[in-house]
Amino acid sequence: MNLTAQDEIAVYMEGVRLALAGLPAATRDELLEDLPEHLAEVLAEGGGSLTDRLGPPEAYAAELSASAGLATGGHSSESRSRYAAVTDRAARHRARVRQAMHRADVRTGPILGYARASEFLVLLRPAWWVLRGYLAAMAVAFMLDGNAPIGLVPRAGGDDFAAVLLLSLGILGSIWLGRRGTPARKWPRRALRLASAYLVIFALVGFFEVDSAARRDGYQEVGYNGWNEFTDVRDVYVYDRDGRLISGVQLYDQDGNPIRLGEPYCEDPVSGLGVPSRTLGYPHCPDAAPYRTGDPTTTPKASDAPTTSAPTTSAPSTNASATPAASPSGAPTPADGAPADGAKPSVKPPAPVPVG
Amino acid sequence: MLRVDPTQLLKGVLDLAVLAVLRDEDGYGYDILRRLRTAGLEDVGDASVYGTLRRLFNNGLLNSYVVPSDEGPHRKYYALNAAGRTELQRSGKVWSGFASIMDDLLRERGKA
Repeated sequence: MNLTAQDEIAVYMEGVRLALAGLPAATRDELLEDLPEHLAEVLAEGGGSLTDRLGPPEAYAAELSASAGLATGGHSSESRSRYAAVTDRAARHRARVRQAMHRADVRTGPILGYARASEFLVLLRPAWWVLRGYLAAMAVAFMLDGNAPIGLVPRAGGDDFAAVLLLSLGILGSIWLGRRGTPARKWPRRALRLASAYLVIFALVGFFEVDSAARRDGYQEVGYNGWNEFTDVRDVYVYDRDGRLISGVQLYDQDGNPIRLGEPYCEDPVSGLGVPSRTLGYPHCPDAAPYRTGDPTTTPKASDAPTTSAPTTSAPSTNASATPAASPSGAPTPADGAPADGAKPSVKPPAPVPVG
Repeated sequence: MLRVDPTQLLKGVLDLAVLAVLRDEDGYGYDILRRLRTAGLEDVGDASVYGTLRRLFNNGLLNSYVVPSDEGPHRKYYALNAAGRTELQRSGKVWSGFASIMDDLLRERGKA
């Protein structure tokens, strides 16, 4: 009840103030000085809204200024410039926004356990001062040291001591400023608001940047140092459905990017040293295949399969299923018929090699 | 305009009425308004009274002081000063003279 009354008073006040826009500010403020008290009394009496009781704010304003012996009202408001009309509209919007914020304030209050949300926010004021000091120190460090990426501490020039000093100064200064209260004069007040808005934007941008940098680093760590199921893979052997080792295989992912596993080096069986692989594609080291070919029971017409014909070099389209048209290397299925589990060749008796 | 408009009449005498209700006791805006209405000036406009108070104050006929209030906004009290009292006496005489002339006029017209 009381709160909606305050709303109503604020809106009516704003209406009267607007209607008196033609007066010098000092005169207008003087005239409006008694108005809140008066409106509160009128409302307290009951019997309808302020407009019901007093008429529209414009009429009230006209009566007020006329009886105060001031030349304003309709005459001067008609000749007001377009600038004044624009500021009027802005003021009306401001009043509406203020009203909406007030309503939100009252509505969200009970959720937080207070009559109004602002009562709770006022308690958080010192916390905001500290945060503001930190952000200010960060902003200063960022300006002094524009090239360095934003971190968590205001480390201007990479100096730890300077960072702590700057941080302390920022926080103490912000608390001092906060305890002084809102500046009474217009321009300092505006400057403070503008600076706060800048800090909030700076904080949003900065936090996101720091966060994504942290995530990026974490990802790289996994890529370089972490273990995954491909860490130990040094070479890839592909067997066809008949169990023959396919050479010159190129692997691609769904985007057409080549999949690189292992290193193109082979261990020389004699010296034990790594020598560069001589083959194109996988396997790098056909001689080191886990399942040996050449089991006599499964030898097909090995003769008609020339080795290492060039793989198709054109990149397969999206769902590259890693079956380049490499000709089989003339290798029959190993006897046990179960090569690498990934390849899943069908365990079949040897079949004639479909040359193609 | 043939019709006598009370609000038009009021405009002429509101200054005097306000000074009069402050003669015995200081008052704040709404209080003064109530006194005027109680006295019978029911059509007096809220804004007119506040505007008049402001003008009389600016013309140096009233003093003002603020009294803090426990509930609601602070109240600004108005009090007649010496100049105000002088003005009240002077204007009071003007009004009395004017009113008696009107009374006489109307009485004679009524008799005729």
